[in-house]
Amino acid sequence: MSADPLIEIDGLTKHYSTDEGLLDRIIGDPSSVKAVDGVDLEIAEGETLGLVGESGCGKSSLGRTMLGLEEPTDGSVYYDGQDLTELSSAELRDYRKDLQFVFQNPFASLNPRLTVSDIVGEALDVHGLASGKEREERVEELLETVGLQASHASRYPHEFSGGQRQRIGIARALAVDPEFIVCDEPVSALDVSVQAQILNLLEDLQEEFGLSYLFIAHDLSVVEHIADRIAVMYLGEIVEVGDTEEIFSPPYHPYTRSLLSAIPEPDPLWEGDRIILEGTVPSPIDPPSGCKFHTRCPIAHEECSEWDDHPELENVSDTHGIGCPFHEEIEEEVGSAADSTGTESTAD
Amino acid sequence: MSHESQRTTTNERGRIRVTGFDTSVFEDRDERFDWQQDESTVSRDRLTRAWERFKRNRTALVGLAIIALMLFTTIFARPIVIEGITVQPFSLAPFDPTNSNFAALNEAPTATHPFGTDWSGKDILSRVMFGGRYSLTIGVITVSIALSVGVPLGALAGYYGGWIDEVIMRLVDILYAFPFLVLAIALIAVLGQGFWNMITALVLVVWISYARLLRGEVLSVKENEYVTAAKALGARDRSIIFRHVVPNAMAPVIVQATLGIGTVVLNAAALGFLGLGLEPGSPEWGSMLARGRSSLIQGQWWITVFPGLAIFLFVLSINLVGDGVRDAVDPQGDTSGGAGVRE
Amino acid sequence: MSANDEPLLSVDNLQTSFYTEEGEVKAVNDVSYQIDSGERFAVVGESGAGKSVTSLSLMRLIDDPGRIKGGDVTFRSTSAVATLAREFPEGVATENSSGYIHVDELRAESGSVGSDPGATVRDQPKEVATDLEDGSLHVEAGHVDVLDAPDEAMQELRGAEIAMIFQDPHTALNPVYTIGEQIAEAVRKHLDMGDAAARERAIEMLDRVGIPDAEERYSDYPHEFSGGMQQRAVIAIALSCDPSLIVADEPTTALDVTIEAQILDLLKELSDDEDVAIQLITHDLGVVAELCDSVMVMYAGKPVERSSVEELYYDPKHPYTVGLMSSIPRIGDDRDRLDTVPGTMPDLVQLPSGCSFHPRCPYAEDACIQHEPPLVDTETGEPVEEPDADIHTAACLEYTGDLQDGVEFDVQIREDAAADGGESL
Repeated sequence: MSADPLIEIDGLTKHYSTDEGLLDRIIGDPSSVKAVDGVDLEIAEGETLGLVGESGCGKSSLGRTMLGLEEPTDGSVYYDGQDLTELSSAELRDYRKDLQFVFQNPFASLNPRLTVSDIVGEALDVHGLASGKEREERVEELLETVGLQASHASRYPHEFSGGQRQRIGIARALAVDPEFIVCDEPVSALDVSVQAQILNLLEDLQEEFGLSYLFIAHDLSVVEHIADRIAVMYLGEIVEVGDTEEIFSPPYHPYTRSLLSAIPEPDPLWEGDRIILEGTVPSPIDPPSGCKFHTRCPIAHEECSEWDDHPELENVSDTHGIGCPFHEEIEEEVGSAADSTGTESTAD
Repeated sequence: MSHESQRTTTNERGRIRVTGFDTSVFEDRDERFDWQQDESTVSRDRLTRAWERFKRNRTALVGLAIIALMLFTTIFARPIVIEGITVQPFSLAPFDPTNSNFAALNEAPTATHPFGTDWSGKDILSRVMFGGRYSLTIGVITVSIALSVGVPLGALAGYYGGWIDEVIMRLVDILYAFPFLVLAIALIAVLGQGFWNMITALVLVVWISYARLLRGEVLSVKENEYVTAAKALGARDRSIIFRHVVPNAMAPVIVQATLGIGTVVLNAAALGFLGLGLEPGSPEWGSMLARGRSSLIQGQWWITVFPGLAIFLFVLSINLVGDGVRDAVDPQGDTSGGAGVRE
Repeated sequence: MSANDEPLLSVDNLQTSFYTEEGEVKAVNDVSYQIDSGERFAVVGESGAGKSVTSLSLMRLIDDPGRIKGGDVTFRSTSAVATLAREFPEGVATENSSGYIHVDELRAESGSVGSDPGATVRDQPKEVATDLEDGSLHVEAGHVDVLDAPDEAMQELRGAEIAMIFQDPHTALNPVYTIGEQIAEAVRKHLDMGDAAARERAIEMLDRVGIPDAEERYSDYPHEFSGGMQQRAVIAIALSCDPSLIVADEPTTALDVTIEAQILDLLKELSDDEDVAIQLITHDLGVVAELCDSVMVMYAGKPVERSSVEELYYDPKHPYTVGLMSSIPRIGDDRDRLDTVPGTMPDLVQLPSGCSFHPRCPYAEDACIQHEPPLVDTETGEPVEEPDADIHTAACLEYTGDLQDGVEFDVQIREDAAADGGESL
């Protein structure tokens, strides 16, 4: 078993241009949405890397760009020694047997006009992996693996509940026997009890088939449960990465700390320390200079607006990196905030 | 159970742990506890469901019935002979539509000639019955050809964008700028009169609206996640466009095409009225109107009124059917079985 | 505000059904609860449970093919009673007429009770209205039968006395009007203010909900606000007319967690300061724990548990609640697998026999298939008189003593959470 990571992302960048056409390019001022801005990540074989962040941080773009569903602006994605960004779409097609995707919205990610068998078996058809009776059997096998019944193969998506549709989506991803799956908020749109079912299913599949996951989510409690390592993202950059326990315990990046403190705890007697962030998330078209978080950071120093080391992270341990030179100060800040009763004055 | 006296506030997360909800018991449990949601055994695809919705619309069914009746009448009006083989031997029309009877010129409607006769003694009822063939075939053929041109072009324009889109849409814009009749007149002036020439002129005008409409739909459909999912599986563009995108974008185009049959028939009648349609003397309804203009002034109303009524009835029925199709084809699809997903 | 100790809102045996081609969908099937002034009450359930329909029924926003079949909704806001009595004097209940506006007690400005208020109301409802108008009497106690009120009366109530906040602020705000204008419009309509006064009030409200530079932002359009700010603006609209009850349907589900924290804090603060009751509809157990005082859990259109919030989390009684509590991932709790509630909620058209939850319940017994469990006090096993959430009720045969094996589960308070490796935050 090699110690090399299964997937290595190096300086991946994805900018969306906001110009709309010829006229805009001539007359207008072309600006770009810097959705992903220089991301370095590694995913080992058999592990689940959680990617968390709030809306607009670029986590979905990162997931799609790394699998070539979006054209990267810069950077590389190495899989099995090959840089995927340098492949043509035809060459990349071959790799799609190893790298798959599960989508967030169970309603939108299944073509309403196709039967379940069509949907789940499409990959088999595309890559010529099975046909006829063999294909039918494989589809039924997949359906049963994800907890559905073989008889569901001839039905249409609208006949299923959200949780079942998500299972269909997972079966579709499994059809090619992949090594790695990007799960883009797979449980966010589901009810509480169904979330747990799908999470358990994903974990079981990981064990049974030796899968690796990039698990993208905004819900930290879900990520804490399922992920081995976690990366926290803000405005296109990774601000902290480490093992799950390391992320949930000091030292923290100030953003991570704020994020963690904001999660409502399902315990009415819980009275945790709260950090209420000032301001709103800046636009990714025009992110703040220096550290992108400095405009809202409770411990921002003057130098932070000129801090150019980002997105490099400082290693606080072998496995734990934090992108903030002053990160030790956040714990003191939280402590002093807790002394003054009630919440901080807010200005969203 | 928890102990009241020990309940203090805390700042530690995850302090509560609930255990004992043991789902392993479901495996050994007796079947009578297994309650299955009654799933309808009939799995209906979109087409069947649309048809069922359509059936519930009475006015649409009336329209459909009228069209069916007209179709029946026109097929069985006179025998159909293909390659010397008499495919259809029946003759509902009382007279041969091409038979002149100089003994009965310009006769008002009577028992023998319920629709009267025209200036050459031809029975108008028979001509109207037979003439339906032209209108129906022109309508259907034109729309079919227009769809097979407009849909692929619109799909390519919408899916790829860029210069393909620019080229196709500018072509559409240019053609749109011409009033239909001006275009048709120009074309027929170049090509000459005749059945296929008229079809060409009509197709040229009609395909552009399908292309534009489909392109618009494709622009939004291609953003759907199932399209991205197909790409993630490695599906090729052609497969994505024609398997995923177009079928889900077709709905408004189908509606437009159905209503378009009526428009085409009217346009064909207009061309015929101007003398640009089929050869003079053919019992196509529009041509009949054209030739009957002078008779109308002389008071022989039946020569124009009946073909006009036929056109009216046909187009009205098509519109009723088109409305029914629009209501029946629901692009959103059913949302039954939405349990388990929160909005 | 309501008088004495009567709850502000009482819902009794509410039933709402939708009549579809597949049959009658009993979306709300005998739901009872009450909310006191300033109380924060949560209606918890997964999709399909009927929680949204309950709130819409409350506001009488149910349209074809739905219909409120039965029940009573009693709203005891004295300002609501006063307003309606003024606007709709013919709706005031008297000895001879069964109106929907009940004035129980009147008080004169000077402080003493109006002479024989009972007689005034009973015989001459118009005088009550006049007396209210010229200010000589004001309503001290009364209630409105919401389900009997005509549409015009409901329009008076909605927005002014009972305000609603929806999940997606984007769709709640009209994109072609400025935010300030939308608040001002509500204020002009319900509080009868002139333009200048309405503008003042709108700016005041924007400030109150924490929108900085309120005066400038008055003339901004919704798209110029971020999601969190939009939701604050929606709250501002809701608060602008001094409602006594806000119905909030998943107000933070669409928001990021840091913004959610701010909005929840804001709601808590406003509820405490202005004595506004909140009915919160949600599926998020964290939000309920943070914001609310009492809870009602719904399943398949029926209430299955009702209690104070602390009791629900520390001493849940109904197996469905237990299942939900077991299946949420909790930070600091490093279980390997989540206990799940298998299956999904049944379609409301076709419910299982007996207890609707029995197919998914690990403790189900034969009795559960045969008898539908009534909602009973978990201490006594008897149905309760008043749907007071201080009394812990659950709809499970365990509490009526009909189960043989009982329900076995445990709620641990892990004092050693920190030692486990789950960290304190």
